[in-house]
Amino acid sequence: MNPLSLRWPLLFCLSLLLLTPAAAQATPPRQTETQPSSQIRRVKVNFFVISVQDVDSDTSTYRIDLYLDLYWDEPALQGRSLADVEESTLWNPQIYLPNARSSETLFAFYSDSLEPNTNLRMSYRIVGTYDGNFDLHKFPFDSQELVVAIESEKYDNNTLVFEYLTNDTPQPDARLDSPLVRTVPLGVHVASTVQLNEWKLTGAQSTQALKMLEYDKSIWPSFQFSLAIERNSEAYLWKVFALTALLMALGWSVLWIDPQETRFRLLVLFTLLLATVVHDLATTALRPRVPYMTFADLYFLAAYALYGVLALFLWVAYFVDTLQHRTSLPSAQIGSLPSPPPSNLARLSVRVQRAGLIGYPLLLGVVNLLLFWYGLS
Amino acid sequence: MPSLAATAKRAAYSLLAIALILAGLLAWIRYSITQPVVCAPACTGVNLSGRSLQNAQLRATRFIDANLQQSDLRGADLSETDFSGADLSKADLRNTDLRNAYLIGADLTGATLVGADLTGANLSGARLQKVDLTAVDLTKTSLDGAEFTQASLNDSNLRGANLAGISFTGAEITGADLTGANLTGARLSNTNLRDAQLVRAQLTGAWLNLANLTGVNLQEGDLIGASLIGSQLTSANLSGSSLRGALLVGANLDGADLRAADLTDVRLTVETHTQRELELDPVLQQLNELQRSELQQPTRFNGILYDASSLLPAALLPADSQATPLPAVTADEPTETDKPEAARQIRTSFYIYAIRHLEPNIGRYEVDFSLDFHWYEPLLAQTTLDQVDVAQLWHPMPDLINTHKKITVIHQSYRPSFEPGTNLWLHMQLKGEFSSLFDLQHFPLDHHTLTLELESAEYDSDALTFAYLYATTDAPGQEYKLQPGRHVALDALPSGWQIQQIAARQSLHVLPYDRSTWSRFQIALQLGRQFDLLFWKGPFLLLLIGFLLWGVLWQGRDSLGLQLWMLALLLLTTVATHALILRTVPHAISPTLLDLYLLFCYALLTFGTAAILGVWGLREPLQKPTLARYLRRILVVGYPALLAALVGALYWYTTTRS
Repeated sequence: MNPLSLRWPLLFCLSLLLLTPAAAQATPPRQTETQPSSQIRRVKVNFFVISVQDVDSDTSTYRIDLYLDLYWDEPALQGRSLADVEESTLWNPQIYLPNARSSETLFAFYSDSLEPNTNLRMSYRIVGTYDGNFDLHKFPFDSQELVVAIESEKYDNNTLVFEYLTNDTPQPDARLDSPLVRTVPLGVHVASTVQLNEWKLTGAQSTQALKMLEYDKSIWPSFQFSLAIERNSEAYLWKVFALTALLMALGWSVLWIDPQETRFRLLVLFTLLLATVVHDLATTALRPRVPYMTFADLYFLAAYALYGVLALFLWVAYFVDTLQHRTSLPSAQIGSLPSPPPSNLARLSVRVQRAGLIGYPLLLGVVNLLLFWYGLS
Repeated sequence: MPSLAATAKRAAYSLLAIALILAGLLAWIRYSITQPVVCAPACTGVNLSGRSLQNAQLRATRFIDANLQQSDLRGADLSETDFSGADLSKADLRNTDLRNAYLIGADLTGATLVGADLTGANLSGARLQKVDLTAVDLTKTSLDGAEFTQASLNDSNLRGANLAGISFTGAEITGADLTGANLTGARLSNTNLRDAQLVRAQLTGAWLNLANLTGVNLQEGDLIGASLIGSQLTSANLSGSSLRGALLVGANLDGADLRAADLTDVRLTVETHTQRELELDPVLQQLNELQRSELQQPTRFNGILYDASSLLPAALLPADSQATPLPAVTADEPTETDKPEAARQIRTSFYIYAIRHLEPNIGRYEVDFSLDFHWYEPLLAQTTLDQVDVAQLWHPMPDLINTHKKITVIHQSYRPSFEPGTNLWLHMQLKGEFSSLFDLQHFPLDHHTLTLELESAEYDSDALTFAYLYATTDAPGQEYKLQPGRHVALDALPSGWQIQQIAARQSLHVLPYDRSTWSRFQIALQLGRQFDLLFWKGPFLLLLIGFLLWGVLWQGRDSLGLQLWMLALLLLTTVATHALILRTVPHAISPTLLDLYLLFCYALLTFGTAAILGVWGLREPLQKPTLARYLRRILVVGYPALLAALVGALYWYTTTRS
């Protein structure tokens, strides 16, 4: 075999060998700065929520105004005070808020830290609109979490570790597979003036975690705090459910009307149905617009289903009653004869009527019980 | 028939069973009260109210936001325990070890802390009303923003404590040691300070109205601008103290030691400003006219001690007193550490040009306003503003708290200030979007408070204090009612609203997350909605429906089906009106007055349905036509009266709630 015939494959392999490291160096996935483990900066995080606003169930967003304080030990300040150094030369953790749709830093400044093992404090006031992931299947009996996540856009976990500011020592580090979650006091981290129109605050948590970016296997420290909120459902009970329940209950009155007056039975039923549709339409603005069915939608659906059952029942009652009248003798032919015993159809007609009068309230109770058991569970 | 023995046996078994059930119940109650604290050390939010935790070892436990009402913690080790935000009202904390404990924002109303060790404890922002702290040492306890109304602090040690702006109204503080304490702007009205030690205490601008200061030692005390209306200072030692500008109307200083005291400009008669100060203090507000007139007596100065260095107004010198030059008294020179570093006092004023985009649904509004800050700038002591670089001048760094966007600074400039005690004026014209929680419960008769909350972004209360420009005192906790024309443009409000009240408040604000204290200046505008007929269209329609229901009740002789159909039509009309109201009024989650009218209408329709079914039930299935006829007549005659009574009740409720 002519060795020259192998030159192209050989050249190809050689070029591959030479280009691979160059290619690997040419495409760094994310700009990182790493330091020896001894120089990892432990940044302690403290926060205070000034206000929570605009919790929007339609878009799963919320606005949070907060003070964020970061504390660390700055080697440049060893033996010196902040006034002696140029602030632009100081290290900065370069934080960003990954789940913020938009954010604005109202102020950010350095000051001397009085917390143990730290000498520098960076204080921010940040107002941001954050994206949440609201599950509204049980609306209005739902609870949500308002999360604010903090990461560094420059330093990975080889350089920086976020910690919750606490007196607990030693503080364990978060691992990739097990984030460090702790309950934090609402009274300390949330202003007592924070009041949400539709919600009540039930708790707060902080989470220290490590996050791996799958595309380059880099690991990044993350700190997040979350506020647990629970919707005040009392107003919805009055404004949405009480009237729907009343309309459903009034469906029972249809069954008290004489089976022979079917036109009135149907007229009342149609009017109740129309009233329910108008109520459904009127309260649309109070309910979130989501692509799945919430508890409130389910309740209206149950009302329509009950009217359907009622209509079916009215048809059966009408059918039985008509049959019974057709088969019974006209009163003129009976004359002075003693009244005949009631026929099977007449008995059936009475039984159907009684079954409706007893069965409808039972069905209404069971449906409501099941629905609220699902909603409140 | 069962024999007597069998009956007795059965009764005995029954009694035994009842006794066993009761014993079990008592055992369960006992266990629920005395069960061990299994949550320690993380007891955040637990409910331990009424529990007995005597002598428990609970060191460094976190009881954050926990409920410990009426719990018995006598003798417990609670050192380094975190009670932030916890409810400890009426708890028994006698002889507890609370060293380095955190009680930030805790509720200790009515708690007993006699014999407790509070060294290094942090009680910032704690509620300590009616608390018993008899003979407790509080010298190394942080008390910023705490409240001691009606507390018992007899013989307690508060030497050198920082108690600025704290309320002690109605407290018992006899024999307490308050030497060198900072009580600037503190509320001490109606307190009993008999025989207390207040040597070198700072009481600038403090309220001591109706206080009992008999035999108190106020040597070298600072009482500049303090209010002492109707106070008892009999035999008090006021030597070397400064009472410049103090209000002494109705005070009793018989036998007081006033050697080397400075009583320049003290106010002894009722003037216009005194009347205003009478209205400021809630303790004085509670007095009736007779009690107020009794207070407005001349100050009593019989048998006072004074010397040549006493600065007494000539009118005060008693005719019978011997102006014997007594030796001037001197107290120990205060050391450098005793002197607190003075905070810059920023005199603040404002003007609101316009309020736009007022959205009550979400409690948001845009304000176009200016802020004016006046202070004394040492750099300008020897020179003028033209000769200094304004970039070198100190800036208060104002930060508006209840905004959620960066404030737009339209213009800012430094000018020389001519206000007393100041030499520099910073004028800032600003525009921003603010938010407050609006309660629409009384819509359309609602009124709301729009606030602008100002703090410094950088300087805490040790470095800066805000006070209203025309404030009589810099002390926190003051509120000033203002005239609209002076601070708010008359055409500032959007249509449909009117100003009801304007107030400026100066206060101290504790941030619990880092325990820092900040001076806050708050502007509050109370607005009321103007009457609009549009909002009454819905209620009128609902009343009409209520009236039409009477027509349905008249139709008693017709078929049940027809009556029920008419009712269903009325119900449909009500639901349609409901939809109309939802489109007209602001989207409020909480029920408004209009929702109350709707509820009233639905209740009437339900009543109508029940009544019609009742009449029909008596007539048809029960075959009682006479009774049915009577009931129908009662309904037809009684319904208008019922409707009128309900409408009257609704009107009464609306007017009283508005």
